[in-house]
Amino acid sequence: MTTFLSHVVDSSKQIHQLTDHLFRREAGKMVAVLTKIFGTEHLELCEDVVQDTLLHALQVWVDKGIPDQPAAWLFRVAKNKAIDIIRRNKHAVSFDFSDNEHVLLNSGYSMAATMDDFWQEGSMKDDMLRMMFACCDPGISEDHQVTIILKTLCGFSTAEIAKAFVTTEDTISKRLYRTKEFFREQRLKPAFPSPAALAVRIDAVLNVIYLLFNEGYNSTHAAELIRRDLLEEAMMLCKLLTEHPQTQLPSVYALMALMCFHASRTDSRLTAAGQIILLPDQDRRKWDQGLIRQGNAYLNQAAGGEYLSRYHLEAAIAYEHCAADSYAHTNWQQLLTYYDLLNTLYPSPITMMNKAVIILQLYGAETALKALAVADIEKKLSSFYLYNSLLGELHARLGHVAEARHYFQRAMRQTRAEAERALLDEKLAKLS
Amino acid sequence: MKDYLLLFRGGPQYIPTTDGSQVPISPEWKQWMERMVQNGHYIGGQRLIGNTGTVLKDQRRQITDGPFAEGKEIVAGYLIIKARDMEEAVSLTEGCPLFGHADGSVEIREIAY
Repeated sequence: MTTFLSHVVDSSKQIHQLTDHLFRREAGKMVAVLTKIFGTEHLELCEDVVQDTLLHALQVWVDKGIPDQPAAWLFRVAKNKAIDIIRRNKHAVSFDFSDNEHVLLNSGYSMAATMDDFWQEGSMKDDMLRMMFACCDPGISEDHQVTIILKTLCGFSTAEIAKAFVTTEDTISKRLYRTKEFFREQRLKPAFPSPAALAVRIDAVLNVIYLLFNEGYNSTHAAELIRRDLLEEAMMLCKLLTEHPQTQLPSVYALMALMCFHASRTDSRLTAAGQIILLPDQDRRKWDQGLIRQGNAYLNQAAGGEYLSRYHLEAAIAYEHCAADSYAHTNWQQLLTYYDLLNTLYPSPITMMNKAVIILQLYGAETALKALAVADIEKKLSSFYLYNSLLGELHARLGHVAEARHYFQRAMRQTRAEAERALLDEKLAKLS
Repeated sequence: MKDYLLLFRGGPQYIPTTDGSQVPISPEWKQWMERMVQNGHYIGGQRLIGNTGTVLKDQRRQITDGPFAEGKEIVAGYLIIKARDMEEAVSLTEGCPLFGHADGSVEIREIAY
């Protein structure tokens, strides 16, 4: 008896490990297909179908083992559940099946075969893109866009999203509720925007991907500084855009390149114990050359068109770092040129702050401090830990111990990431 | 445009299963109906569950299981379509999968308003 039970527990644990990644990936596809069938106004129902499907899979797989084609198995179960819902709820819930694509779902003669068409694996990536555009509707705020995408397309639980953005589950639930309400009111159809609207809409989508990646690259709050799962999800979503003819735009390739370059350094940025290793001290042999090559290829594809997005410039900057065989050999002059251009086209205090780091390399701490002495920067960045940390560093280099301590301590109060705090501690200790 | 009722008799009788997996005739039906959707003729329609039915005559005099002597007398389903006239309605039944069954027949009736 005991052996049997422990066997069940073991295999169920194994199943959980094996299915975790699979479920996350396939859940997004299934939600995308289901919302295409039932409409975003029934998103909640779609999520329930996916949840039921995954639970059913766990129960059956623990018992009978994982099937040969687990994804196809999941799709088949979800499809049958969808058929069931249409049959049973025929008169209880009114689905909008009025357009030509959906109308044959209304008849028993054609419903099952029409349903099959919706579940073609070849069209699922398009369905995810359509849902991405729906989630980035201009009527939804940025925070809510990121949240609903992580929930519906990336298979994150409310708790996981709350953890990634250090807020309460309650806040995330409220955001999701409001977005779903928006979907219900608007009866939004997941669809590609018209060619005319695409240019504007794609910016919102790229912005969400960028935010997602940024949070993964340098998690502002969480205990782990780098959230690989967020990096992966952001890159997966962007890759979908690079693969679809309608969204193969220069800015899409540029963002993809930017993410490849940054992601290539992931393994060199932290010690085994999770301590931060700064760029000058990173072991460049650990940089993922495969990702750097991919980044180069994407950057080449980004070269078409006459519109220079901020992602182009940021990718070029990230490339310069990846291309240098050592910190000393970095082409700082070229970087300064890129930052100047970036700041001219897309002025932002953050860009000016980063530019000051380049100025520090080229002309020293004094000049860098002067570059930062702009009222606008101070006003906008005084509560940003990296800004205060940089000011501390510049003062430390100039031997201004009191000022350096003041800024490091300020930065310390502004970050909750353990690794960041440890680094600041170290800098403070070196001052005396 | 007028509306027409298509009554299908005979052919495979529709008996749904609980898991919904056994739906024997829909791919062909879908293809045929899809053409009508694309040309704006389709309005709606369903299959009827075969084998059982109840026919009432007079008050409370019930004849269960209907008067169906054989499968070809059972109405297996109906569709409502739009057509210019009876001639066009007839032409629209071309390719209907029911004709693949020896006992299948379609009755076309114009719907009055």
